[in-house]
Amino acid sequence: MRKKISLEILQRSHNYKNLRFNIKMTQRLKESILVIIPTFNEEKTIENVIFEIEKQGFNYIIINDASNDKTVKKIKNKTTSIINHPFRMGAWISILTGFLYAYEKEYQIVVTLDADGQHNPQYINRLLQPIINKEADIVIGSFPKRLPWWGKIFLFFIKNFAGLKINDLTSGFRVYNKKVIEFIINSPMDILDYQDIGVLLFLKKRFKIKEVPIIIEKRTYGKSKIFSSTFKILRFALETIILTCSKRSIK
Amino acid sequence: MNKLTIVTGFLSLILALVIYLLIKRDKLRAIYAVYWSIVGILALIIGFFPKIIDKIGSNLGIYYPPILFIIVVLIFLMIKIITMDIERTDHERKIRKLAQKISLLEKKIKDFEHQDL
Repeated sequence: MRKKISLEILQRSHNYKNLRFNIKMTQRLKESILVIIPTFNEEKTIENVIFEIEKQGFNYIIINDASNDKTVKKIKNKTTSIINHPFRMGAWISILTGFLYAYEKEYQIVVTLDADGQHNPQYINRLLQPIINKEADIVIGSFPKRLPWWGKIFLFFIKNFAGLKINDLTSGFRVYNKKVIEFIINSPMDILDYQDIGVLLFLKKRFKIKEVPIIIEKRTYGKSKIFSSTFKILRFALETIILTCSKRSIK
Repeated sequence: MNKLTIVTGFLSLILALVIYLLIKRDKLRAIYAVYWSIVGILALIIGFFPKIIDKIGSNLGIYYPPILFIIVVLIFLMIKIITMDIERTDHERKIRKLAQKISLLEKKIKDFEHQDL
């Protein structure tokens, strides 16, 4: 009950801040922002995510990572903002495709959010503020509470060992400015498989990273692509440990 | 020529022949052909003159000389596997880049088609 009330208070204060910010945000500024939505088999949630983003008036691009369900069929008649991968390459490569598109179309700011409905597009305005105010180059929508206990312990060690002063290392709800996008598409970051810790390790010493607290919803449908089996969790953990050790001293 | 030399010589001959045929039929790129030619020649020498291993082993003070051969082969195989993984990573990166470019081009074509309509 207490938790519910505190969530409501947070949402109300957030809506008020959003309102103030919306008034300040000009149409021209909105046109320079692109929302990238990497998608793989999200037929149940993708329509709603698009609806919410359109309601906010942002440009967006869906990167369909070779979905084999009805995702494409569902959105085909609703939007032309879709890029189809010929085969599955993972969420991070989908985001990179989106970055290439944003760079080609000269967008100044890029927002990345998941198509599974966990990232509420209403928070976009809130995440944009530090970038527009030039307080940060990368903004992470942070909600570390959602992690299971073992994830918290693992990330606590990774965070301290890598020297990352970020509470939510795995959130994919992020905003990047053009400087970061240019750096990413010209660096060997296409070697990475995951969009979280490895990416931050590459960027931590070059750019200002800021966290903004948000609420990340629970999945209502399907499973997480990265943590769907013990083998996948183990692979993620081992890759993360090796990356952390190898990138620890990168400047 | 004792029985052991006949067996090792025969096996090395088969290996060298397979490598020769693969190179002749352009199944291997020049750089790999060089590597496998060396492997084939070494296999032939060791296959027909296995005593070489014993001599080198005893000169190096190795108590059981055949282990020297196994260690050398394992080191060669490890180097080969690591270089293969390096090349595979490079290929994967190139394939990803190509796929991304194809996806972006496809989007451009679709945008043009919509403009025409």
